[in-house]
Amino acid sequence: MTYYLSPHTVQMNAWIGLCQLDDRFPDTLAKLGYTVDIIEPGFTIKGDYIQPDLILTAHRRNHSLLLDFKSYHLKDHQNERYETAVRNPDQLVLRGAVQGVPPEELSADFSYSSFGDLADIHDLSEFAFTTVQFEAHVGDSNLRIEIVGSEGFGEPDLDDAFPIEVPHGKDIPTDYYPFDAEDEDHTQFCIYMLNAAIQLAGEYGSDPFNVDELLAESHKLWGSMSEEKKKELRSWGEDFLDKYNKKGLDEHLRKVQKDNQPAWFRKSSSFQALRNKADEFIADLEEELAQKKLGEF
Amino acid sequence: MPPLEPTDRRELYEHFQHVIEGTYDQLLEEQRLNYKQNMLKSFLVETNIEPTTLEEQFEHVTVGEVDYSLFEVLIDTSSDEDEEEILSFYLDSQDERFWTFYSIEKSRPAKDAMEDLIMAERSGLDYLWFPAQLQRYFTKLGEFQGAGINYDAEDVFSEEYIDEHLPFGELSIQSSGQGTSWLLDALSDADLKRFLSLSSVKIRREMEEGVVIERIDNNGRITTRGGDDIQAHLSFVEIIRDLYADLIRGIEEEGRIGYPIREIEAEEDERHSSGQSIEGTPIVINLANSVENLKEFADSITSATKPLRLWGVGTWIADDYYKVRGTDLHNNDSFTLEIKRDWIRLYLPDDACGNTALRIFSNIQRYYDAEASFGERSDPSNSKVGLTAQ
Repeated sequence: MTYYLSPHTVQMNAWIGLCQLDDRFPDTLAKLGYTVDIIEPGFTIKGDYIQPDLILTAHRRNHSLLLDFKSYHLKDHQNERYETAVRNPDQLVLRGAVQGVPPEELSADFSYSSFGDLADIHDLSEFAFTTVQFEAHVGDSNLRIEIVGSEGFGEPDLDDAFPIEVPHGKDIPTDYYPFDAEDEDHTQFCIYMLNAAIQLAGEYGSDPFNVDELLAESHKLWGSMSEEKKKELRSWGEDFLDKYNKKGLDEHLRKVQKDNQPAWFRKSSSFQALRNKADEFIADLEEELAQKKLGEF
Repeated sequence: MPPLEPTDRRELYEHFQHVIEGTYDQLLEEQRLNYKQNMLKSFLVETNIEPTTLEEQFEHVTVGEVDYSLFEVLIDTSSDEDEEEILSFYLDSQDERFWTFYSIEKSRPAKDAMEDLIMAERSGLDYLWFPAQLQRYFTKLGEFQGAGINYDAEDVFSEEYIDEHLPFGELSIQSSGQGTSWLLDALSDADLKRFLSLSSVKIRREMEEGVVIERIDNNGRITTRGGDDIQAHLSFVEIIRDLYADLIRGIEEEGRIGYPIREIEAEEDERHSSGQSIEGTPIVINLANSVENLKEFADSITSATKPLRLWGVGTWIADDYYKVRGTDLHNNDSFTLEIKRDWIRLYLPDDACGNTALRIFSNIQRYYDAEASFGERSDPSNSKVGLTAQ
């Protein structure tokens, strides 16, 4: 399966999906008791700042899995920091990154997750953590998620759960984490912003709203994103609204100033007409982007 | 019949009692109704507003309190037709979320007036959307006497889409009496079953209070075709409402996605200090009719038009995987659909109204695939009625 989304977004949704009960995606981790504990938390352990993409926790096992999604490049100092976290799992609880487990009882694993075989490129043998690889069209399955390299998870049941195969007829959910600040997600970003504009216009009436409010409505994880990512998405948002105006969608939203910043409020126009313009907007955008498709992974 | 000017519930129900008795006797004796002698209709409506706000929201509506949580609602329909006519309804708002509007006005104008209220942009009102599984359950609540089948793809899909992908644009069958069960069984065995969407069922129900013959339409309208006790009708309406309310509650408890926020202990140099989790699971709708053209299908059901009133914009997320992000124009809730040939995943935010899920589901059954079903994981566990395939 080739997705027109960034590797980060695909992996985030796939790992979250594995922890949910969904008829159309494997619930392998949910069955073991894993739930999504926290997304993109940033915290310090022994003086070093780390920011995994995702932490999954199985409370009945007192076990957490920290995940970092990578393409190719790893930084050695990150490896050392993740190893420190795994060796001091109590700190995960004491810093609030993991919740609901007595600190002295928690154990933790860390894994890189990737579309390529990181273990092939990087020598991780000196670290006690593993890498997980996503691969499409393996045997009869749509997608295969497997451990690569020699290390396994410290939690035997979790280790045994791999490889996880997503059969044909099932597919990854993509709405839990709809887009990241990656080029491949630009179309999704615009679609979510278009809908946020419709919603806020309806909710706010003649009260103007600004680009941050649009982003918060578009991405439910906006509030806890890193400032770096926020900055990037904010700039996308300004660009989106400029394009929005140029394409004639300003028949629906009018630009004004609020607290010396640009803001928008709703003007009347029919939803059907707006829908046609929105479709054109997305079609033009996809053409402009010459949409990057991910390679088979 | 005396004009209806009740001063309390008892008087209103006494009047309805006469209506039911008259209708019943007349139907039995003459098999027809006198001019202006109309049947009692109860419209169940889902709402998130106060009764008095109807007057603020709609210029042509007047609301007056009659009794505790009972209101007279007058709807001026003169703008719709040349002749001036004010239709009267009685609104029982005892249940804050599910109101009942009673009316003995003529069927068509009453139905149209309710539609105008409910379908108005952000009205705060919605129909009840009975899925086929729930309607089949209704037939077990009494002696099954009749059914209506309406498949109206023309209301949602373009002529070209119907020509290319569907066997019918419209299919309508009405049946009553003993042969109805046999007819439905016979049709269900045929390939036609994917297009046999129940639009109404008629049952005769004996209750402690008496007997009623009721026709239940798939959008929450219950018409008393005969009977001998208004209390039996009121009880029946309550049963239907409770069955539906259970379904909605189940969907809201199990089929919405939330993002709870959690603080992380901050240190001076930390870059941010809160995180979020995810709770809840999307709803999966399985299709028996494979979708031939995912984009056209998605565009049709999110074109902002009646009956679904969903606005959305879509894109491909893989070669055979289409996604729509949209807004429900009834209540401004967001939704996301992921569509494959044989199933749909529906995401609702944690503050969304469960009615959005049933509107989408029951309309897919009515306009595209009568055999559409919820996935097992998506079936509300607390409900007496399952929405999975039968």
